[in-house]
Amino acid sequence: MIEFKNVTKLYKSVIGVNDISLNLEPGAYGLLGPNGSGKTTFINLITGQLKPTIGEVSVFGVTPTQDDSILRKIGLCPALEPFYHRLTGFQWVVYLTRLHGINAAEAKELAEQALENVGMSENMNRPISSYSLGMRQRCKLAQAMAHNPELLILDEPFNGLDPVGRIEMTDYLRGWIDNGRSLILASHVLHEVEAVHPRFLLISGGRLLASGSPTEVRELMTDCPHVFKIKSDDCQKLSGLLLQAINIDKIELDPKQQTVEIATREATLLYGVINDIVNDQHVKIFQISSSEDSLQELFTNLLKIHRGEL
Amino acid sequence: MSFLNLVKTTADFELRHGVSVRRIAVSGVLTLFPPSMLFLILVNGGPIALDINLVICVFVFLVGLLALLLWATPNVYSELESRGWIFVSSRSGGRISVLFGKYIAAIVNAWLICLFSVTLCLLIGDSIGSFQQPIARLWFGYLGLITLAVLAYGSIFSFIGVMFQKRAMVIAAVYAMGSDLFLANVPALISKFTVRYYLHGLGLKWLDIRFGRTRRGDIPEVFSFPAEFPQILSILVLIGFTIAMLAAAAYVIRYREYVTNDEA
Repeated sequence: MIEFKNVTKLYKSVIGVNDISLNLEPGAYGLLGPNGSGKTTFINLITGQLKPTIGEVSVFGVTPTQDDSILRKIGLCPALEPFYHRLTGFQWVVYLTRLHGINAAEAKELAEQALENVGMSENMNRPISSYSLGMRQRCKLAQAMAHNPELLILDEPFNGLDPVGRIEMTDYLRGWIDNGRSLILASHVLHEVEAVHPRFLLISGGRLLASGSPTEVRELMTDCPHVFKIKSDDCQKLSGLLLQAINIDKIELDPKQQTVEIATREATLLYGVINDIVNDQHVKIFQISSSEDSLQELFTNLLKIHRGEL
Repeated sequence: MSFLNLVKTTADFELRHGVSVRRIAVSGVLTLFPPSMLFLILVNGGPIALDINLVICVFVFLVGLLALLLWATPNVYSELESRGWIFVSSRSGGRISVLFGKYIAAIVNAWLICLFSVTLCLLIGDSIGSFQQPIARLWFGYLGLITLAVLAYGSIFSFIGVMFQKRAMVIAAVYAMGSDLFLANVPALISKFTVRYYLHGLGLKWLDIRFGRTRRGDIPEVFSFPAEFPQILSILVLIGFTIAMLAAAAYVIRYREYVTNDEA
């Protein structure tokens, strides 16, 4: 569906994306990275807004900057907020849908359906200026979905949505994926992406650090330390015992919270060691928490690998 | 959907939703400026050294240029400023539709302003018997000139708008002054590269303007050299120029990267 061959994009001397090569099959992808990591540049390269300085981009088999007919297959919801405030949401979505070459009558039907899908039916004939941030966000989503694209690209789509709106949006996006359509969901908030269950692309500093499912990525980093937080009645004793028993990369004590935070590459040994400590040394353990299943840890560790810290 | 329907989409959108109190007020001021100036000149005894049609031409020319500067030049810039560019340019027909749709909307606005303005000027001039020619003939002469002028200048300003992401209006104003107020008056080959040269030649014939003619008739004619150029060729050059400018603008807007301040 999308192919990048050694793509680099420079804004004068600033690197937007740096030597990215990938081949994405149809499916759902979470594009993760901190602010300024190159997510929007990556998206703009896919939609042909930007030309790569070096390398080639191919979307649905064609170069997007050369053949804009592929934009009919793509629905883009940018992070930017437009200022069409005198229009109603319906007028705005109809106009943008018509720019895909869809006639007025069909565009009205599609716009109405899309606005209904994002829960804006009741308010679609009000001026955009009277909308809340969440309603404007829904309108932006509607304009991206209205023409029934094959690939939906959403840049920070959860911004401004209230908790109920986030749940509804997550459900809608899951439904979108379940219908066999493709999705690229860019966000710097991990749990938003995790909730939609995509494979993910992790980007930072313009470089693609990893791609695949969380499990696949974790296989790439078996040597990375996993972080555990252990709450105990005797943190100091526990720390000493753990240091004797396994290799630990980092240990932090917080006597006030009665917690020990350790980073170890021997995660599999840790649970056995803790069992022994509880049985033999009579140290009480109240809680063990690990973030090993969270994308947050993958993200943090991959960034560390990228920076040469691991 | 055809190219024309795509263009109509944005033109309709601009003409319907681009109307604001501010735009109506500006249009009103521009429309009334030439007849007001003409009225003041006539009340004070009429032009001393100039043909009255030349006075109308100069004011309407300036007003038309200003209208096109305001509405044709910021075609891309206005979308970038309103952050609408990313939304329209991610549509398969978005870029071309924006260029031609905004061009149509701008020239329709400018054309209406100039035409109303000229009509009022002619009525004022005729009410005090300032014209030797029938005003119906003059009106059709102005209609032709205004139509050709807004088409040509609109295309130039649209081209400047897609070429220069920032300060396009300043560049367009500098072009208008440099090319059409200065170069067009040079009695040499270079003047033939300006739009005004051809409009000037047509104006001399259709409106029977004489630069040096006055009520006293004692000032020699100057700047009448474009009248030598054949009318039909002048019209073809202006239409050809318009098409060439729009084609160049279409090429540029289709392949150019435009980055908003937020994205940069």
